[in-house]
Amino acid sequence: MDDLEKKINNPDENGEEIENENKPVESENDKAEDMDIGPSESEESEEDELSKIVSQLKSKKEEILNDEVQDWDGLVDQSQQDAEEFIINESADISEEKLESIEVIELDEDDERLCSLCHRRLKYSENGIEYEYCKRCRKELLETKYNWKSIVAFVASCIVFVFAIALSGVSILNGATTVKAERLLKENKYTSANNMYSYILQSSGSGSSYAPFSLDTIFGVDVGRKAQIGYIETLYKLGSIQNIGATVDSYFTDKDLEKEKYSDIKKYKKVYDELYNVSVEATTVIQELQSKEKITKADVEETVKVLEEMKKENKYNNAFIAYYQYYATLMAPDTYDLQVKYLNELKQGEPELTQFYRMSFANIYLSDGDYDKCITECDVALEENAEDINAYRMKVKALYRQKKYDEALELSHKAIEIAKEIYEVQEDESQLASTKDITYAYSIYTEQAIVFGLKGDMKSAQTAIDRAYQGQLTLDTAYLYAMINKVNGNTESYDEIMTMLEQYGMQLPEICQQYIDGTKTFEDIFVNGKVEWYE
Amino acid sequence: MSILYIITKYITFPGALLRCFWEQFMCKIGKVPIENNKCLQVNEMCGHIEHEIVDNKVKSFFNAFIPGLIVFIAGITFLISPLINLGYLEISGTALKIVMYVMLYLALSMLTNIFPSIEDAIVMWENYKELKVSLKILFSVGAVTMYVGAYLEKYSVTFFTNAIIAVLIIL
Repeated sequence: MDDLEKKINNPDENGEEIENENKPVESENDKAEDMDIGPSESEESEEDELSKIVSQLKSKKEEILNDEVQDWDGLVDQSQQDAEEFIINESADISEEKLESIEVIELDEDDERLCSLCHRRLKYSENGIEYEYCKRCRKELLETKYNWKSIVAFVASCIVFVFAIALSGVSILNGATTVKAERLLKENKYTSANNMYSYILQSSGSGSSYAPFSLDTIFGVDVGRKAQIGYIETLYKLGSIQNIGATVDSYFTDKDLEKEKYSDIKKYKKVYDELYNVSVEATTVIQELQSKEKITKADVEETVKVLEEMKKENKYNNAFIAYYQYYATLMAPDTYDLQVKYLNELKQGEPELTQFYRMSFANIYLSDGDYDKCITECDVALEENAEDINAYRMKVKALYRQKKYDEALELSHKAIEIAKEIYEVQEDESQLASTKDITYAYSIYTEQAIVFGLKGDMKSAQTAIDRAYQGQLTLDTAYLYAMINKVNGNTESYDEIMTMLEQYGMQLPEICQQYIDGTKTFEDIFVNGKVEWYE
Repeated sequence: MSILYIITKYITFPGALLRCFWEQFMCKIGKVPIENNKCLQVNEMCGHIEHEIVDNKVKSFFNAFIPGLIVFIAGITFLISPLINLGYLEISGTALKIVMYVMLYLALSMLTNIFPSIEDAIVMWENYKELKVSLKILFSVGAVTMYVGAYLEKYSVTFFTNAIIAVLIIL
């Protein structure tokens, strides 16, 4: 029987080996025993008999292999296609018990044709591609569940993602507005930049159109140093020094100001402190001057002298004392020399604070009839601050006094466009009154009305003065409004403004009346003459 | 196995886990068997899902590319607000600053886990080389980025680069 067993376990037809350690072989032996194949007592030789038995066993073996354990063939000697078919049907057709029985037959574990995972079945192949695992293992692996940590990461990231999108939206809005404000600052458009920074800082969730959402409302914090610094810088550039102190104090601590990156803020704060120190003392002196019924040049000189004494104390910024001295000189007539003196002193002491002296010089030159110098000052002022409406206004005045009406008119149009941009003045009349500080913006309309009047275009002058009147009512606008309406035959509007003036105890100046009477022309008043109320 | 690589993956675990999720997701879509779905492990597959080699050329490209792309998008989204608020607007409020630091860390962790494993990158690269010229051109940027990026990530270069950028944003 030993020989028999050896023969049974010999290489099969395809020459592949089946290792002898398994049930199927035992099964074959059992079957062989059942077949009563003991030694024969016939006359045939023992060899023949053995040969017959072997033949029977072989056929029986084939029968067994084909019938009962045909699945194994897929694993050992059938074609790969057969193996796949076996595996496809395996899970459905074979019980767990039989699967266990399969495991007892194994090929060499190093055989590259075997599944890398189970090392029992052939690798699955499809369309000429051999995969790493058998079909069964692949199926199991394909059903691998997600790692719970990964799912947590996914869910958390989805939540954070939504939050990040919202936060990014708010940040981008604020960032974009700040970038825009910064660009305006670089273009010397300080008024627009200041407006924009102001909107950013004041926005509170439902606020401005610039920054409709604010991180302030979400987290109760500031919207960033960038906007704060920009805002303070624009205040400084616009000469609004008095507003710097409170702003700096609300955003920066003394410790912050010691940092190098906030050195500019520290400088602005220092300027504010110096101006404040001077103003505390100087305001008292100026108030004394203002309390007088009629201020004369001598009164002004006395006040200026008192202020001059302050300079000797060496605890004040003398440039700012000079500023208050200049301010005092404005209260009396014929003080141009003093005005120029103190303005020069201010300019030398604080050359950066151009808003304190530039247009004051231009005004002096205009009053003196030195229109070229006035225009030069205005041009420099416009280089320093591209949106200085007051500089435009002054230049328009200088131009029409030089009888350059077309140039003056063109400049007034340009100034109006800029004013609209700054103050968001819309063509829609209803919005005119709702805009913020637009005094200068509307003063340009007044100048334009004068230029139209000088050109003899009273209809256009009427349109311009109407806009100025609707926007911001000042004394010069009121007088001009009365003049133009009367000349154009708009009695109702003329009566309206006259009633208003009477209510305030005022009268139309004589020169205006002369124009209405036809004894004076626009040119007589605004080019050749000196108009006190208008100056 | 580089210990530095493992440490990096553990430090940036949110990104690593998210990448694993999307890798597994792509494997499921592409019917690629997953042998080991454990993400954070102390071996060279840390931060990646162990799966059967993908022989399909296009599939291997997208298997390597899509999870990285999704994690990259998440990382960039997380990065925007800290970049603007810390880097540009210079916010000073403590509460918002903390939120921004968290977002910055998440962004850092995402952007450190955008490249495939070396194994996937090599398979993708080999497949890429066999593509038609037109497809090669189409996938060139992604393929080169992923191939180079996988090596950069292996040596934690991406982590240190991102960390430096994060520090610059904070400062």
